[in-house]
Amino acid sequence: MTASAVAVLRRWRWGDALVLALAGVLVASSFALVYAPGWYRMGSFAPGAGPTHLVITQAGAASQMVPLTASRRLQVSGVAGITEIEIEPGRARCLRSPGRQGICEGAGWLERPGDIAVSLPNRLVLQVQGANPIFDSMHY
Amino acid sequence: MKRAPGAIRIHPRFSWRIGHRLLPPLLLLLALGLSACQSGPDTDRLSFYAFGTLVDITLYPAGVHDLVRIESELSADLAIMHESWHAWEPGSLGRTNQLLVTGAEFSAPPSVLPLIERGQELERLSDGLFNPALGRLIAAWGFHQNEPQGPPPDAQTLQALLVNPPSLRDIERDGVRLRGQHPELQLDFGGLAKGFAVARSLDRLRDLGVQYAIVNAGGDLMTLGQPPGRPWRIGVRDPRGSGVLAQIELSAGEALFTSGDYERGYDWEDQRIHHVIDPRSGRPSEGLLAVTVLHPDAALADAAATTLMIAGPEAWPALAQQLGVEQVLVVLPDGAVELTPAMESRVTFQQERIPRLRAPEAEPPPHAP
Repeated sequence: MTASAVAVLRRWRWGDALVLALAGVLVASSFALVYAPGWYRMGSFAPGAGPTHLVITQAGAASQMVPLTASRRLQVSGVAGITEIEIEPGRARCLRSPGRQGICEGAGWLERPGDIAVSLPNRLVLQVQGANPIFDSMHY
Repeated sequence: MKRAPGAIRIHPRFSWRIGHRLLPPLLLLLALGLSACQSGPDTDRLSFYAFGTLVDITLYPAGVHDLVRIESELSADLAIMHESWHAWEPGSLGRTNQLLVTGAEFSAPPSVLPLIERGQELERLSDGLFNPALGRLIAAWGFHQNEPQGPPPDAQTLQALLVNPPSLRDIERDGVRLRGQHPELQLDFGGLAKGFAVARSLDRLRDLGVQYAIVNAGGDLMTLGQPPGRPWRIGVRDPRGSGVLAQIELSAGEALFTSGDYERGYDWEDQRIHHVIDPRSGRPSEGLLAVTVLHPDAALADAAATTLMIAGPEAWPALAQQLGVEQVLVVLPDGAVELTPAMESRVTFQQERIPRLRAPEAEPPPHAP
């Protein structure tokens, strides 16, 4: 170690070390955030994070956000009749909906962020999401 | 104690000699980190019913677009297209069908002509597997009504419909003048019109000053531009459930269309009757559950998805090559997934699937009668 380096170290205070350590943590976190797979899936996007709310999208009406915290049932009126939705903590499902094909009910429990059930007769889409949507759009 | 030049004196034993140089980059990093952690989506969503389905518009960035005007303009456009191209309700296509069966020459409605021209090209490329002239056959299966229902056609009816069936080759075209040459011509652009509608909706969004958007019509979609610094993230729904089968990241001007046996159909005597009818057998296509095509041309993606469903599990790679689509994913009835090498690099599976690669093949596909 050169004499000048030793002189610099002798003049250090603990605050200097603290700032350097913080800088190191921030730089490392930035790299992890940017280069890790799915870096934009922060918070609820992280693998394993469950859905926090149900988004009910119905043509001609503003989307509704329903928290998936307590068990309950909802009824949504549409052009073809009533869609009944069952909610349990962390999941939701289309219990009954107009339409002979049973596509909405057939989707089963929506348990992972992004899971979706569609009732075209009632012009209705049910999707469970985390705190932020994972996908910009759903292809089905 | 003597203070070093430029140091900030906070406490006699706390001298920030190096810290004062590191603080600006530290604050910048902190700001970047906080902006990445910001809550709420960076897009606006708009949903309305048009073109006989649920239309979902995603707009980037959030909070800058006139959502009321966008919904109003797009709804109006889609309503006109829906009426013009509807296969069984009165409109431009209905009038065209009435005139085609007379055998007399007439001027094609401007809204219908592009579909006929494109349909003829795709019918030729697919050796007749894509045949939008089989409206009578589709109607016989109960699909020319909002809620499709049986009974399916009996064997005798089906046999009659399959003797010398019409095709778009039976339309003589001279500029905008058309003349039908087959008494059973009935156009049904169910496998093409949505591709046209989605592409035209994006054109309208561009005219309205929108730079970055997705137009999703009943699950089929196309992108306009690409948000700065990130791709569009699309979830592909599992065709046999509610889950997400895969994620596909899209860039600017890419369309994603799927044809599946679960879309329109009904159950008849424990059998699933779906809307993709094979012109060779006259019956719903068999062997594939869903076909997804990614291509910059929405109309081609739409028609190709239908055509590959009809082609079936053996012939779809050859047909894909013939149509010029390289990015294809198919789901077989047992849930197995096959995809082309070009599609493999685009898809991230969200479920435990081991997809099988299917490279385009050189052998000719089975031809339509």
